[in-house]
Amino acid sequence: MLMQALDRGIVSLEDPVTKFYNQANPPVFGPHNPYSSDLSGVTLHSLAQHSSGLSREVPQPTVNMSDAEVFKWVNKSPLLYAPYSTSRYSNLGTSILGQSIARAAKTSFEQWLQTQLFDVVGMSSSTFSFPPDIVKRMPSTRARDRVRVGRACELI
Amino acid sequence: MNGIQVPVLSYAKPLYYGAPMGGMGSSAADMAQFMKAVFAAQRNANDSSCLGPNGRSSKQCVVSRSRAIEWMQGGALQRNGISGYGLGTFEQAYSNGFWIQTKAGLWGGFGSSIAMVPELQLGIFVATNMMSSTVGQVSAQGLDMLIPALIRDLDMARAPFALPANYTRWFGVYGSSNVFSITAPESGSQVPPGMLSGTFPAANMNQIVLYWDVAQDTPGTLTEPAKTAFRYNTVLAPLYSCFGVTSIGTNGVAYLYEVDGVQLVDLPDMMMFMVPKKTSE
Repeated sequence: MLMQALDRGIVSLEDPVTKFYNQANPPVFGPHNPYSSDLSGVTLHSLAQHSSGLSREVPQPTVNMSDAEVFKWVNKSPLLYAPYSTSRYSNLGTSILGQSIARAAKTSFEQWLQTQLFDVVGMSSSTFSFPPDIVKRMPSTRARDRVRVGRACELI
Repeated sequence: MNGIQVPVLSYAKPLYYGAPMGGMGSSAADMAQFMKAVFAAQRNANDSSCLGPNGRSSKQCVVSRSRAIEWMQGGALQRNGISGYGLGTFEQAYSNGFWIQTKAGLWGGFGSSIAMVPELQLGIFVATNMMSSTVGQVSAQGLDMLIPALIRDLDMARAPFALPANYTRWFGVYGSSNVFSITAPESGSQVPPGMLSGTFPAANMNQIVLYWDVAQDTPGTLTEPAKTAFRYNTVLAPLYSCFGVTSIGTNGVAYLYEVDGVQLVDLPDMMMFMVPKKTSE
């Protein structure tokens, strides 16, 4: 998604997240940055390389969180390190990257992948909506693993 | 193992901020299509052959060649020197002599891992209907088996190239102070295919310029204008035992000799070495 958006000039790697989430386009992206006077260092590039300073996960994760709910918690947290000073894996950062690009493209993450990847390449079994014909082909999984999902964790 | 199996759909989406895949479900066949598309983009001759009007993706590739290459290159290298973060989604691990682009994850009772070796156009995808943090190790171990096997097959499939009958004319010492020499591996022995080699002082190395003397007729003098020139990152030079290089400018004319059959970076089907002016036998 990022590479396609770069190809088309929709975003630049140097674009800060605040370009897409600000007062004019809420919710505002505004975690406390104790290392600088602004958040210009939190760029799409820093998100892609896990070097933004954001935490690994949403501070208070629940399933089906909206942008506003996510940013409410993000904005209560400081950056863990100055952008580009080191790198730490972040699901949160990668997710904000995808949502920022979707905003810039005036579409949704799911719609972009459907039209720009799945349809183009012929990935007919790839989906976000899980229609009945795909559900029929899905394998089952164990109940104990389902419990883990309830904790909204993703292990890498 | 409690043996109870349940559908998991209600837990699988939406997942905007829980994982990079965002709640996406897929299949092994689809992920294979994805990898093929990425590799196809890298193989394109140029960017314009990929992108259609207004930069839209074409059926042949989902991103431009330059972006696909950029995507698969190193990003934030970690302190261990063998892992890093790339440009979005992919993490990088160095294994079996190659950088591998990989990503593993668990969600909704399922686990999956994708791993690609761009240099070899090799990819592997693993999916499990259980959540196990070892899913990434499955793909890693798969590549541990596949990479050496593929390398062997590529080597066996490659036709041995033949040195010209008069290759011994290149033997000797070059430069003003023995900075470069070309010799047979053993005195009096035949040079095996691909083993014609040179030595050079690493301290002299910087970015070098290679000139291709198409005529290949006079080791001491460039009898015609160099037909083309290449810039080559000398950091990679030690990887090629058959690649002899030295700096030019201080040691005279440099030559590039062409032999079919060896693939080297951006110069397919070509083995190269370049030397300064020959000074003694």
